[in-house]
Amino acid sequence: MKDKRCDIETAIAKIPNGASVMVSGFGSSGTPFSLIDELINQGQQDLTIIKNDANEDGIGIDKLVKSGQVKKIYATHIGLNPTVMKFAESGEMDVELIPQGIMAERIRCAGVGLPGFLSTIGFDIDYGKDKSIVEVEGEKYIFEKALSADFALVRAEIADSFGNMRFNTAGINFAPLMSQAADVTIVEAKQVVKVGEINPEDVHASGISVDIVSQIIHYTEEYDPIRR
Amino acid sequence: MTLSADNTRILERAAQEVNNEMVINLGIGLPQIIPNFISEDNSPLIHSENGIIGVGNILPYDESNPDCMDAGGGYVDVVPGGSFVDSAESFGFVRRGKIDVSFLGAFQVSSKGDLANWHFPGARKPGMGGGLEIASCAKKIIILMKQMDKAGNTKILPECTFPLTAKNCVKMIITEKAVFNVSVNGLELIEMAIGESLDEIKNTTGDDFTVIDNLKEF
Repeated sequence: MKDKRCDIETAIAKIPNGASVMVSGFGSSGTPFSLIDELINQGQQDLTIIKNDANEDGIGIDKLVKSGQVKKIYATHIGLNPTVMKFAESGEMDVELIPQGIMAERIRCAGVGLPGFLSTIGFDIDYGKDKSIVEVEGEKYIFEKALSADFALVRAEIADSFGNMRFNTAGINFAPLMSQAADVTIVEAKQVVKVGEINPEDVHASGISVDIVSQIIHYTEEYDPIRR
Repeated sequence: MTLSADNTRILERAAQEVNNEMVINLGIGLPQIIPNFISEDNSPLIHSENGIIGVGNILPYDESNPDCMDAGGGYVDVVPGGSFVDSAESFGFVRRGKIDVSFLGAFQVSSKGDLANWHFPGARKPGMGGGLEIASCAKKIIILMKQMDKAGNTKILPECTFPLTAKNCVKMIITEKAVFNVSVNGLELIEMAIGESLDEIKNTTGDDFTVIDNLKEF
């Protein structure tokens, strides 16, 4: 079995300018903060980010946006990020808002070798206006196209050296889907263990789609609960 | 958090719509407080669209697990029998119609059951999150809102003027003054808040409604 362990600096250095990058997480839950911080350190430009949200002020993707590295964001909700809402309105950054389940399923499709899926949701409202409509056996559907990326950055609680992953509670959210949908998947894990140390029946997502496994070294405050 | 008498009345009434065999989903804001009004032996399973089936209690900061967050950003625990699923599976349950009731807030609702609750014109666009799919696919959508907005406009209209979240999805509206069923024949007043008058409800509702024969109070 391939040993995919690598330090975070070397892993992130594989990402070129202009890359599309999926990032796991729902808000802070499951967001790979160390991988994002290293992306900010290295300064890759013109990135397209695909994430449920843009985190909050001073956290994760918000820092990447403020450092001017992001050309476009696909997200489902940016309401907790005033900067990204402002940039979306002014046109300084291209922001494409997608309903959450449709985004998840489009990513899932890319990860399981499907070109997309047929949907009936949003047909009769503004959302459906610019969509490709297909007709099958007399019924009309919206075609929702698979959403893939050059890279996926995901966080696991435990990963083995092959990339088998376990997630912390609701931190699972987009991680398994994104790990399958990108050309290169980089995992940051709180704990990196030898192959065999995670029982097969305890694996949440197979390492078959993972390319690089990195150990989190520095725990910033972003990994703590947010005080509200 | 101190709740106004109006919000308390809305929440107490909303809590009567659930039972312990249901799976429910709670929108951001007022709906999230419904569990405080449900007795323990009547508690439904709460689905949170980010991937929790069986949301428990909001935890104090020191006991919070930063990853165990519900869709409203609260750090929660999970009830016995609960589980975590990924985002595709979570919305698979939604599309498949496994949510019995979803309680949502609204900017506007039409008497045909159209819902506008994701973008207030003039404000910046936050994105619809999972609202569009939940509104389209839950078996029953119950709207919790005030009868009027802050500017004094009625929120119940013949047609919504704000961007729609979903068409023809709302089945019930609970306000501080009234409970309406939304049927194929339009709005039907089924309950009136104690101390409220029919005239006051008519004056604050932007479309006609029928009144059921044995109108109850709540």
